[in-house]
Amino acid sequence: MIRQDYLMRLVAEMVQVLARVLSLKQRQEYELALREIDAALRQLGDRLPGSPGESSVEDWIALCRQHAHAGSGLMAAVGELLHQQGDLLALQNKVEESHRSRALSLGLILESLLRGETFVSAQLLAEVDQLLQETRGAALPGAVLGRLFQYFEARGRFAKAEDALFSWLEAGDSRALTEGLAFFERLLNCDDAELERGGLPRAEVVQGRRELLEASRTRLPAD
Amino acid sequence: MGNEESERWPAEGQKICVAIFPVRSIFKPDMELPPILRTLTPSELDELARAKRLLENPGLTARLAGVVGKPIEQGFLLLPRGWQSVVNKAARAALLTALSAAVTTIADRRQKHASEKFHKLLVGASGGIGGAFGLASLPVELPISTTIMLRSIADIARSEGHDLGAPQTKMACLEVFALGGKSNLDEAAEGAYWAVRAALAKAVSEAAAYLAEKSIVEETAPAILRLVAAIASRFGVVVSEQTAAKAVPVVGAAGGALINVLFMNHFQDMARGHFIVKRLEARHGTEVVRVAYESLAIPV
Repeated sequence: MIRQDYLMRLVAEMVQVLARVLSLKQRQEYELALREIDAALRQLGDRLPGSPGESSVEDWIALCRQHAHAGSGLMAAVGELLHQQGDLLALQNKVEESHRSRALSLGLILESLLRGETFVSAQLLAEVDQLLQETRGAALPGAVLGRLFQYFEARGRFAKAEDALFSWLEAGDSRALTEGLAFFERLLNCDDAELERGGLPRAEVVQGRRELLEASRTRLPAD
Repeated sequence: MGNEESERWPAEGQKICVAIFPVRSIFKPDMELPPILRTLTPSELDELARAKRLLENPGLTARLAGVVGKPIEQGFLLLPRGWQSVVNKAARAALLTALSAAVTTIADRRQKHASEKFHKLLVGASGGIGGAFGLASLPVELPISTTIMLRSIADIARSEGHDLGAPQTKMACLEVFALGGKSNLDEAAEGAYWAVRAALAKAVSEAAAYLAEKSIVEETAPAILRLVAAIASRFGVVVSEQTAAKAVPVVGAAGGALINVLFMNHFQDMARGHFIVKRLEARHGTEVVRVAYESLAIPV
């Protein structure tokens, strides 16, 4: 029962931390709320290669995956903590730090959804939309953009998936080209009605594929 | 107090005689011999103990109460009127969706692209969820999440060596949703694994026979309706507990995702225990495994 007890304790502690954070936030005690989150993230991230503040989306994902089937749920939960951290930092006008926390949060929540082992709740989907609003206009790391591209495709929002794909390519990740070409191939196999619903009619799919190939020649470093 | 020496048997130096009769000598020639009971090896008994620990754990109620810090009953009081009907309908719809997935896609072992894998589920989410949270979004959330859970359950079944192409395995995957949720129909204590299986046995075998001949699920087929109703009465209990936990204000605002972690984890544990038992049954027969299971003390 060690694993079970550990998971139970972890979940119970995180619920308590989030409850305290929300209460402190309501009372505008932002610094205290941030300290609560920082302590919780440090405890959770004790096996991260670097400090929680410096760790990447991939580092956090790898850590959560150590919990096997509970990993996806934990990613969503850590994502929630980071989202709260981002909001609190924004309230303190710490724009860069806030953006970093929100981008990390977005990456973790997207991964938990794409991994297909987490409860797909309306709240979680709304949180993704909210994080997208909050990070609009600022650059997202390639690891987040790649997941965003997959997420939009999975939700049938093809035009948004295409936008995320080109941003991903712009971030210099060579996987964007192969994933992108496969994406356009899949779209070409969809019927017209589905493409219209996704905001990307067939002519735009063909054009998008051509632009991807052109962009890859100029933007990606030669292997 | 008597003398300890005199209570020891046999006393030191005393000889005893044991008569060993060949089994056949105590039966008349025309009598049928009892079946030779194969026993579980020590390592199989360890596995069975692990399965029992998972299947008979304190249950989701206790775990949720531990996280919420209050009895779950308080959450039930906070749910809107008519919540039971919403939960029951959502549970039935979710099981029908999961059953269709079990029949059509569960045995597909091709590695799929992540977006291809979840495409239909998340497209469904796009259409139905928008803006409504909690009980209102349950009818859309639950079928999606139940199908996701079914895939995870099928992975566990496969890892325990079960053939996902067999209708019996598909039904066993679905049976998992009935475990750990006590129905009003159950007289036995919560977590009475064999009691739940006995209660479902007829509906499961009828549905497996039906599905062996069909490639799609007709939702109005009597065998399907009976199976879904039998499982839903228990699955609905667990869904209700999860919904009630999220209705507690502090938890709803802060820890909805965490409650969902426990909910998913509950069924993954049930699946692991169930398919360990099923694997041992395939080797030793149901009765041998059941007797061994019931004789095991649950390790705390």
